[in-house]
Parts: sequence; C-alpha cells; structure tokens
Amino acid sequence: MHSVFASPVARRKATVIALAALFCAPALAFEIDVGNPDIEMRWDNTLRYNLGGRAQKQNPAILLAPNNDDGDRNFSNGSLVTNRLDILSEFDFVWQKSYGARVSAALWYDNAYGSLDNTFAATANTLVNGLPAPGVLSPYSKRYLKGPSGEWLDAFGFANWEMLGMQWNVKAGQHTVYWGDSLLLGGAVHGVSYAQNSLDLMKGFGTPGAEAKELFRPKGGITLQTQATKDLSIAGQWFYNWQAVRVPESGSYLTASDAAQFGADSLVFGANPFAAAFPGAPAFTRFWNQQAVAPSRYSASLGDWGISARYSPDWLDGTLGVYFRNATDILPQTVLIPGFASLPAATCTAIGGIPVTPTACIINRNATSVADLTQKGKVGEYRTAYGDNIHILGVTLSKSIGGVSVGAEFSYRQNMPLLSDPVQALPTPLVNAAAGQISINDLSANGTPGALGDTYHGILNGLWIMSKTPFFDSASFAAELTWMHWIKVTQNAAVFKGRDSYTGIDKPSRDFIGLAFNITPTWFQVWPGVDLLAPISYSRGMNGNAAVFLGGNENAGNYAVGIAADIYSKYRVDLKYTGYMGDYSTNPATGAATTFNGVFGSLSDRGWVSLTFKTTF
Amino acid sequence: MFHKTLVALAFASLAAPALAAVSADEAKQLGTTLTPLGAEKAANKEGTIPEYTGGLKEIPASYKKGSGIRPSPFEAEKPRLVVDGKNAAQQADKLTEGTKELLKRYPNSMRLDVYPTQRVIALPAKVLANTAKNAVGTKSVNGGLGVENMLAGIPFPIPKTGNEAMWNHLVRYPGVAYVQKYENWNVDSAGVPTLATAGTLTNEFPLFDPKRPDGAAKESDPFWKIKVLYTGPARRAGEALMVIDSVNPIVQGRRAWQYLPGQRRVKLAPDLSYDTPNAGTAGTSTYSDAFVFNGAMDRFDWKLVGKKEMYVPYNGYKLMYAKDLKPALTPNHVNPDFMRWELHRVWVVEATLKPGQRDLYSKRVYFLDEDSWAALAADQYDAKGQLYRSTLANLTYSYDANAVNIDNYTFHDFSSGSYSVVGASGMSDGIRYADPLPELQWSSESLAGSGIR
Repeated sequence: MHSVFASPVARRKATVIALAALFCAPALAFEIDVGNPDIEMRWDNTLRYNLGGRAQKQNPAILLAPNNDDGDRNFSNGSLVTNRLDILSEFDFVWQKSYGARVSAALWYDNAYGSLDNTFAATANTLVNGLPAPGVLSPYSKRYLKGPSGEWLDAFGFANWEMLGMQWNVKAGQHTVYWGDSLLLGGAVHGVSYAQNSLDLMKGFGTPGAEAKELFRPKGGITLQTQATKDLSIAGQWFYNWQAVRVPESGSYLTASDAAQFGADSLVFGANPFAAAFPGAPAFTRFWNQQAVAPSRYSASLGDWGISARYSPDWLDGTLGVYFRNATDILPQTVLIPGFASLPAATCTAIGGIPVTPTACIINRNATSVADLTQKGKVGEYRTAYGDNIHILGVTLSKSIGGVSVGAEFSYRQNMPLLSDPVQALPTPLVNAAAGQISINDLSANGTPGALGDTYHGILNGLWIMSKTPFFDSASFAAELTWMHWIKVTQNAAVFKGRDSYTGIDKPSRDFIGLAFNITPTWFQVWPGVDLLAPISYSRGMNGNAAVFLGGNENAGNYAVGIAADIYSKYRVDLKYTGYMGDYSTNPATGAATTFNGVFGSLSDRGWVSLTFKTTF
Repeated sequence: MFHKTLVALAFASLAAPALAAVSADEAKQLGTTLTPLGAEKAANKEGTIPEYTGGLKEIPASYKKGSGIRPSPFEAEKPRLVVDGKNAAQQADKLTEGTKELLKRYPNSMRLDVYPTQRVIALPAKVLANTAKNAVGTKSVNGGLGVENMLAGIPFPIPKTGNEAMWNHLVRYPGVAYVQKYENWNVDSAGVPTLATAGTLTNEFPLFDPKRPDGAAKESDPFWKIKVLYTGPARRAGEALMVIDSVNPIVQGRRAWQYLPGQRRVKLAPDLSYDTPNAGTAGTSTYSDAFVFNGAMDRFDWKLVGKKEMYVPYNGYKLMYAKDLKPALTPNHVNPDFMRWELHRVWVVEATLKPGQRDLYSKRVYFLDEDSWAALAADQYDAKGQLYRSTLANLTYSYDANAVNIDNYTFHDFSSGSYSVVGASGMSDGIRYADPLPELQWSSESLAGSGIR
C-alpha cells in the first residue's frame, strides 16, 4: 500500500481515480452470484472523500496553553484541515440464510497531514530523539491521522438456528452488538451500553458523515442471543479482548489534549531550570509517554461480559430491557510517574535517588536519567490507566408514544472512574496519601489508581418524522436528554475533581443534564433525481458538569449546520460548518487558557467548513 | 371509543342498527345474481364485460409448478381497442382522472392497449364460504374504522359504506403468506430511472392461516404482517422493517419497527404510516400509498359513491414478471407495451379529509375491482383540490394459489412529473407462496437477529 502513495504524482492520480470511481460506479449492489441458491454473498464498498478548511482564527489564549496548542498551531486559519479518502469495505457470506461470516475493513489517507504549520518548538509535545519537534507527527499519530493505512473492523462468524423451540443466534469474533436505547454520543457515554464497545471519536469528531457502524469499534468476543418466547429475548456476551477509545491523536486538528493518547509523546510540565546551564535543552520540562502503542488488554479479570433480557409483551406495546454488565473503561485516567523532585541531597540519597545538584534529585531512576533530565528536560513519565470491573446495572424502555419512538434508560454503576487529577506514583517514602498519591510499587498494570465511585445515569430520547409542512417535504427529528448523578467516591477521593477543595472550572457538580438533537428537513426531487436536505445538529451541556470523563460540561458542546444533496439515491454531497463551544479559565497575568471545562473548550476556536462526497457501490 | 362484546353482537341482528350487517334477503343474492364475493355475475349490456363463470379454470401449461414466475394465461391475445390522445375524450367516462391526465400530457407516447375482459379471480372455497357468513355477521365499528366478527373471508361482500368497501380491499385474500424479491424504481421528470429500493418482503395474512382456529377475529388480532429486508441500493443493504396491522386500529394501532444496520439495533419506527414519505420509494409516495391504500382510515370520511365501468390495469403479468424491467421504464410513464388494460366494473370510493385533520391529500378516490375487491387505481388531490398523485395497480391473479396480487403498481406524481414502478418481481424469482413463519419470527427482536450488518 505504501509504494502506491510514495510519489506525489501517484497520490494525485489515486485521488483522481477514486473520484472518478465515485461517479461512474455501477448502479446495483454487488451481489456475488455463484449459482447456488443456498449461498448469498455480497461485497459493498463505501467511498467517502472529505475536504475541509479551517474557518476560525486561532485563539491566542488556547495557543498559550502548552498542552493544547499543537493541534491548533498545526493548522492556521484558512488552511486545509482534512483532504481525506476513506473506504469502508464490507463482505458478507451467508449460507442457507442462517450461517455465515462477515468481514469488513477501513482504509484511509489524509493528505492534509502531509504538511503542518506549527513551528513553535517550545511547547511542541512530539519528540524526536527526546527533543521537541514542532509540526511533526509521532508514528502512531501518523498512521491514524495521515495514513495511508487501514485496519480490520468486523471479522466474525455467525449462526442462527432453532433449538428447544427457541430461536438462537450466535456471533463469534470481532463484532459489535450495542445494547439499550441510546441514540447519540451523549447516550453512548451515559447509557447501559457504555464501554460495551470502544468508540472511534477521531472519526466521530473529524469525519462528518461517518456511519455509526464505523464508529463502534468491533471487539473480539462471543454474543449469544435467544428469542425464548415471542415476547422475551435473552442475550449474553463475553469479550476476550479490549480496546481503549480512539481519540483525535496528538497533532490532529481536533486534538483535545496534546498529551493524549498513544500518539502523544510528552506532557509539557514547567519551566526548565537546567535550560540555562545546558544549551540545546528545551525551554520546558516534560513528562514522557510510556505508551507508544495502544495496550491490548486492561483487566485482570477473564474479560468483560454482560447479560440482558428484553421483554415485549403486547400490553406494553413496547420493549422493557434489563441489563447487567462487567466492563473495563474505554476512557482513560492519567498516572504521572515523576522522576525528578527538589530534595536536599541527603534526603535524596537516603531514599535511593541520585542527587543531581544539592537541591535537585532523581527520585525514580526508571522515570528519568541524569542525561535525559539535564539535556532533554525529562522530569518523569506518564501513562493512561483504565478502570476495570465496572459494574453496570440498567433498565431500559422503548415505546411509541404519540407517533414518537421514545427510548428511556436508567442505570447504576459501581467502580466507575470519576473525573480525576492525574495520580502521582512515587517512591514509597515520598508518598503523600492524603493528596491521593500512591507508591510506585503499588502501581498495577490493570485498573486505575484514580478516583472511582458509584453513579446514576439516565437517558430520555425520541425519534420522529414530520410529514409535509409549508417549509419542508419531510423532516426527521432525533433528540436526546442525558442526566447523571454521582453518589459517592469509593477510591482515591483526594484526586476526584469533585472534592470540596477543588476550585477548577471543570469541577463536577452533583448532577449534570445535557441535551443533543439532530433535525434533518428534506425536500424531494428538487431537481430530477435530486433530493435536498438541511441537516442541523446541536449538542450542549445544559446544567452542571458531569463527574465522568466525556460525560458533558456546562455550556460545552458542538454543532453543525449544512446542506446536502442526495443524487439518484446513490451519491451524497454535504457542505457543512462544524463548530465547537466550551468555557475555559484564563491566567490573568498571561492571558493563557489554563483549565478547560470539558473536551470541547480546547476546540472552541476550531470551527471548520467541510465538503463531503459519499457513495456506496 | 367503546367496545361491543360478543354478547351484544348476538343481539345485533335483532336490533338492526343503521350500519348493521346486511339482511338475510340481501345476502341471498350472493351466489345467485351476485358472485360469492358480491360482484355482479351477469355480463354487461354491450358484452364487453363477460359473465362471471367461476374464474380462471386452467393454469397455463407454460407455468412451472412451484415457480414464483407466472406467465400470462392470455399470451396470445391482441388488444381489442386502443385508447390514446385522439379518442381519449370519447372514452373519458371510463378513464380515471390520472389516466386522463397522462393521455393529456403525453398524447404522443401514452396509450392504453385494452384487451378482452377476463374475469379470472377464483378464491379458495373456504374464503368464499366465510364471505357468505360474513355478509350477515360482520359489522363495522368505531365509525367504520374497525371490523367485528369477521371470519377469514371478505368482510362486506355487500358493503353499505365507503369504509366497509375499503375493508374489503384491506382484507382482499392475497394468500396466506408469500415471499417476494422486488425492486422499486423511480423515473424522474428528465426520464432517468433510479433504483429506489430493492428487497425481500414477507407478507402474511394471519386470519387466513389454515392452522388458525375457526372463529371471528378479535379486535386486536393482526390481519396483516409484513417484513421487508432491503438489499439495495447498496447503502441501505441490511435495513429491515416490520409492520403489523390489526382488525381494529382504534383498539390496537399499527406496530412498526425498523432495524438500522448503522445502529445495530431494532428501533420502534416512528410513524411508518399515513402521509409520512415512504423511504421505500425514496419519498415519492407516502406509506399509506403502498398497496394502493393501507393503514387506518381515521383521517378521512369515506363515501361509497357507486359502481362504474372503467378501463383499469388487469392481468398485468407482463410488467409484474418482466425479466428485465429497463425497457418498461420509459420517460414520463411506463412503456405502454408493458401494460394490459381491461374494462371492469369497479366500485368508486371517495375519501375527503375530515375537518380539523391534517394530511398531504385532501381527497382520495379509489376504484375497487368488483371481482376481488382489490383497489386497482387511485386519484389523489392536494390541499388546493388539484390532481396531485395517481396510482395504477397492476393486478395479477396467482392461479396456483388462488390469490389476488396488487403488489406491483405504477405511481405518478403530477407536480414533479416523476413516476415510480413499485413491487416488480420478474428480475428474480417472483412471488413464492409459502407457509407462514413461526410466531417467533414476528417479534421485534427477531429483526435484529437476522441482521448480519
């Protein structure tokens, strides 16, 4: 794959060929006929091409935030932020309508990441040979942001059969099954399905038009479902592997934090006291990321599992679901492993450290060395940690009320990771337990040392279609209200951002309410063969800050407005403006943004315009 | 709403209320001057409509037993009359408004090949026997919106109201259950055909299931179940929907579910009914336009206008089972070579939007075949009273199953100049009559189980 895109000429040709394919693709779906009526095979390819440009000026306050500026600096106002070709290829094989397999893969290439505008080395988080390198992507970021690259998505076998008078269905392999009745992203975070599958937020934030089936990241496991009676269906699943959420990686236009997640090389810490004595050393000290690749397992247990029962009696005219799941988190908490501290030389030697100067001590030889500290400003390491053994107990109801398809969920979680400050792992003598620090010896490869707690979550959503009015021929509405309430902290309350002594702008409130909606009015046959749509979406935290990561924050959210054309029921063109909103607190002396209230705060100057072509053949 | 109990029903015939069943004397006409389904048995004065002699007697020799493709029993026939722009005016009283509009707009390409009338319909004996019992026993309730005490047959062979006639269409005996692979095509005003959807549909009519115990349908009993799995266009492959309608929609409203591969979840489908644009035809018709008319009748007042002799599509095997549909999808209207028209007596039912109700259509006029009660055509008017959309149902008689089929129809939108051909099945394996699916397969969760995507 690499050789094809090696030269600029070849690259341009490839884009042109792909574009030509978009408009000359055959009319019918690709059903492969082998002449055997028992065998059904189909192979579908969805091509999506995204061209996007920045439409909002860089916000100086965000540029001054050392761990949030790289993505901002990489793309100046008016520059191309995405020039990306995505291909989703899906292959199904079905035998006797009951047994078969499905394999799908995603491929991508984004030329906009070929050249980045950032030249500000001081706060660059990417490291080359340990020194900050602006406008450069780490290999992990480069793979997912630029490509050309690809990955397997679904890869599973399935079977349907009748046994004991019941209908059974099993799926084994890498697949996605999504429980509950949540609709939009907020629902995915607060629903019974939380962490059932990982989410691809990189695609979700950055590639408008990505189908939900691309955003749910398939996970390896076995799901068994049975239709026990006409009204009752029962399901159980067990996963043998796990995956962290995929975020816009460090260096992406939509990076929420330059230090996250696996494509990030470092976390900028503070002014480098050794900079004067060692020319060439960076102006700021950094913690280095321990993880260069995504970990593949994160739980000591045998794996995540869940059971559900869904009951649809005639008298209810709807479906009632009950679920219990044991999950490993997909969203991270942070662990800092300081390697350097200001300690008198005597204390330093006493705890087994290396005195560098009479007041500077290397407290953890694994977290930094004299050379790295003095010449490269490395003061320690960090990594992400994911809570395991999260228990989720939930109840859902879906029912049609007055023509609206209504979904409602209520769930209770235990061991749920709560929004926390990074936890410091230090040599035992230096640990201040009251501040939530832990001993480096106690740092486990599983679970997280951060704050955990018990929470309640709720969702209420509705889906409905309005028929013709003087303004449109048809319009679809989807709206979702999310709520959460944190009950108590059961681990490391000292780092929980909801503790009394924390005063940051992102302090969680006891309750949080968020709202999101999508409205898509449609006009049919505006020109022969062409339907017009005007999709609008809006999402915002209405009241309070959620106590879980990505749960939502007051006044934070995103929106998009656009127009789209659906041509011959086959091609789709969208022109869209996407914007983000969120608050942040500033340092009055420097004007720099210091704390962001939620993920979207640091993206609030990233408004952009995109043109998307999409077709399936 | 109020319910009548079975006990109350026992006294119904004594009380003889205004919208009661038909009198025993009237019912005696069935089988004598009227056919068992209530059509006029005799030929018409001019002889252009023959006497009903029990329907098609012989299955065509060219039909392969068990096949879903049905050749026409009348391959060799030639048209007896051609109606085109030149003589449309003389034939005006026998043409639907939609047909007239097409002849007016496209005088050079549109024509009707009118063939000899063939009264082919012969429903199973059990259906006919139940129809006779229904004649005196079945009642329409809730202002005609529901049906009570209906056995598995036509409910009102001698209808008194427009609602009753429309119930005959809704319960027209399309068979017990069948599976059909179909394609819906839209032809836009520039003449470009586009595949709107392709899929496999499973249609069931539970009241006619021989395994069902004999007896009247309860108010919440389903009379129609349909499951559609889309296989095209490619981006919709894997989508599925399921609709279940019951005998009294006031007591038990329509239940509908959708499975969206994008969400991998079965969701209650918000209002797959009334004038919501039908995604299956890419929005060019509404859900209530499918099968000429389906769903609840509560938004309209229905009047039984009377009977007329009209040219309607009939025995349309050529279009329904066309192996290659492309030659039929000519600009502006279906290629007239593919259409077969016949003169039949049809009941005219007029629906006007009730005051205070909102719907895309202000008036809808239906033309129901006297021999089968299936709606063969519809003319629909917009809020200003102008002709807006028309349906022409391409009736075929599935002679191997003694069933009526109007799944294939042409739908014209006169405001946009586009038209659709819906439910054509010749390109795959046609319509296969089968055993009903087990009950478990009609649960909403089962839609997801079958979803691979």
